[in-house]
Amino acid sequence: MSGLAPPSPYQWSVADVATAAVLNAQLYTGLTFLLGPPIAIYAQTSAQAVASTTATAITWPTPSVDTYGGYSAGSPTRYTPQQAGYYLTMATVAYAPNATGGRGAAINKNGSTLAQSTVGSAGSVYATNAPIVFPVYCNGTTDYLEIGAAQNSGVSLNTQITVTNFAAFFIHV
Amino acid sequence: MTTPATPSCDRTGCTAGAVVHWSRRPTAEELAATPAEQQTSDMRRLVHACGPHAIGLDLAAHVHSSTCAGPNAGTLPQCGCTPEPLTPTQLPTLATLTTGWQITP
Repeated sequence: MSGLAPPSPYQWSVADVATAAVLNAQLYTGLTFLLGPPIAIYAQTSAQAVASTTATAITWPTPSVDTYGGYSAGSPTRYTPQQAGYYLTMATVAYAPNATGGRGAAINKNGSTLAQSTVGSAGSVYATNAPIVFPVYCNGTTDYLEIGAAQNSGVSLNTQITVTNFAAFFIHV
Repeated sequence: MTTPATPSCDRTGCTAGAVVHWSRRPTAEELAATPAEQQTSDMRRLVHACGPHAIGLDLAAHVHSSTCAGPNAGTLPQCGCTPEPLTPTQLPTLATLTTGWQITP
C-alpha cells in the first residue's frame, strides 16, 4: 500500500475505547506506512553525455522502484517526494575511463546544490565513480531532487549504465 | 524490485536496444498531453538510440529542440537542430591559506 501519510501517533488515555476503527487508524495505518515508507531507486539503462566543465543534470528512465510516484517522464531529471520529510539521498555518477581531471557528483534540491563530492580520475582503463550521500528535507509537494554531474577532463565523457544510479528513502518526518 | 526494460532505439524502423540517450524539449502536442501538475520549467523527453544511430557525444551533452530529428536525421552523427547552450561550471577547488590550511572557499 502506498500513498499513506506518515502516522501521527495517538497518546492513549485510560478512558479511551480501542475500537477496531481506532486501532486501525492508530496502529494498522501507521505500521503500514512505517513498513513501506516512500522509496525510489533510479538507475540509468543507457549512457548519457557529460560535457567538460558543464553543469549536467543526470536523466533517468522510469525507475524500478518508486512507491509514491515521485518520477515523471516529462521531467526525467527529477524525483519529487510526495510526502514531507527527510529523505536519505544517495547517488553514484560513473564516468567512462579517461585519465585527465576530476569527476563530481552533487545532490541538488530545487536547482541548488546541497552536497557534492569530487574524486580524481581512476585512469584510462577503469570507470571513475563519484558517490554522494546526504539527507535532504522535502516538503512533499513542490521540492524536487536532482543529481548533478560535472567533470573537467577536457572532453565529453559518457556515463556508465547501472552504476550511475540514485536512491531516496524516507527516514524522518 | 524489477529491472527497468531497456528502451529501443527511437530511429524509425530500428528495433535495436538503446545504448545511449540524450534530451530534447517536448513538442506542443506532448506538452498539451502532460497533466498540469506534472508540467515543470525543465520538461524534457529522453531520446534513445542504438550505437549506429547515435548522435555525437559532444552534441548529446546538450538539450535539443522540440523539433530535433535526433536518430532520424539523415546527417548522423549530426542531428540538424541548434541545441541549447551548455551551462558552464567548475569542479570545486580548495584554497590554500598561508598557514597551510586547505579550505573550501
